[in-house]
Amino acid sequence: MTATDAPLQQPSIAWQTGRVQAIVTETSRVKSIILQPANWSGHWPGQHVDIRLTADDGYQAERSYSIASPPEEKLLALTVERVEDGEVSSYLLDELQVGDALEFRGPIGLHFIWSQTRGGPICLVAGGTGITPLMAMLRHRRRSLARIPASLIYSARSLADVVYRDELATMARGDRDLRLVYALTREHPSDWNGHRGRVNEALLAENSFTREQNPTFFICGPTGFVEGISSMLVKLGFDPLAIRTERFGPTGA
Amino acid sequence: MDRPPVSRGFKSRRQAPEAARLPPGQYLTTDFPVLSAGPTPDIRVADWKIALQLGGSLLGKWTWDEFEALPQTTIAVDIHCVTKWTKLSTVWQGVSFDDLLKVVGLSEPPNAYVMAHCDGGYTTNLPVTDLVAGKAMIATRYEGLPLAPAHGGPARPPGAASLLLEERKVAAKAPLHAQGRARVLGIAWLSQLWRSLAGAAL
Repeated sequence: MTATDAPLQQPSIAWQTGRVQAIVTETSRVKSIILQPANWSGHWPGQHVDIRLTADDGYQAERSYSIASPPEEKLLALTVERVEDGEVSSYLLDELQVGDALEFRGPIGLHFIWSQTRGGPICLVAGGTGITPLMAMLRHRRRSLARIPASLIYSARSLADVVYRDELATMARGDRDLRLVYALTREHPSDWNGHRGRVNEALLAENSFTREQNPTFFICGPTGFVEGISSMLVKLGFDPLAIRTERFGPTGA
Repeated sequence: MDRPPVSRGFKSRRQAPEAARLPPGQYLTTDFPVLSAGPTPDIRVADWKIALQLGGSLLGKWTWDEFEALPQTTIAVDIHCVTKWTKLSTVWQGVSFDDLLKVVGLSEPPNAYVMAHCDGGYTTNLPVTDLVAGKAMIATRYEGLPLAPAHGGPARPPGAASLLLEERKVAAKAPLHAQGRARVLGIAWLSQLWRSLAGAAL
């Protein structure tokens, strides 16, 4: 979608019906839906799918969800957070069961994507469930032979709200090229050594490589979060064209 | 077309009467979500410029104040974003593409395509048929107020009906160029806005 980045060919996106293979409870507000697509020619880490629900009277609702699984996996993982009064998220979290059919289409999105062939370093900044597309990037990175320098700065309300916490810990263990930084904004354990409060300029400067290393940034989270982080990065002197963003609208999805 | 499968246990949630204007799958919002591919640029109107070129020659160029002095058009449209939200009856003010051509002395578009260049290196290639006859404008005001930076302020260029989600790679050269330090908020978003525009009774 930009002139500076040769666009990939967008495949035709037809609706298809996937089968729910598993549902994983991630946190009290978040689950991952593991989906077996009918046909899938692969995706780029960072892409999303549209989900479409149809009631028996024909009423429909559609929402977009980021893909959390890497392209190397056959099953698609979609991570869904509960949105207050959200008709789609509440259906997916409360009603959907293993074995159900789920209509979706994708993959969609050509700007907020990364693959190991693009190299690094990469600096990923997540606000809440904004971690989802970034997780697909990290999972993909882990499967590549090249240890591409990466850092993840992950802002969550509390440790209990951190999605994929164990997997991230395992990933970071024994991988000196991956830096994992949490910012806990509301609650933290009394012995918490990590950052307390919102992500600030100092935390970004410490953990986002140097300008000379030309990191590419991927920022995903609520609109206010993404606005704040991206303007701090611009202020720190990083190239605005190297900062890619994905925002949830205030109404969410 | 095949009927989509019914989602077991999914209940219909019909919305207000305006829902009749809601395309299938969309939901109504009164918010104004932001969809952007990068940081919101800090563009001061004092630095803002827009130009129209044909081939290599300049047809016209305007500073912010000069652009504001051009004939203004106001339109009301429903926005249907590809990210599923719909916002009804949004009011935009700006300079229509028709007026822009008129001001530089063109009675009709000299080419079939226009290339819009924007801040951040974006380019969008647009079929002229989607821009003329009141279908497109460079918008500078939303609901009567200056366009906020996060929503493409100070001015946003046209998108077009045919873009949809796909990157449009137009094989034909597009010798008519519109250049502005204006901000594209995501081609998909724009295309939806302007798709609505194209369908609106003006």
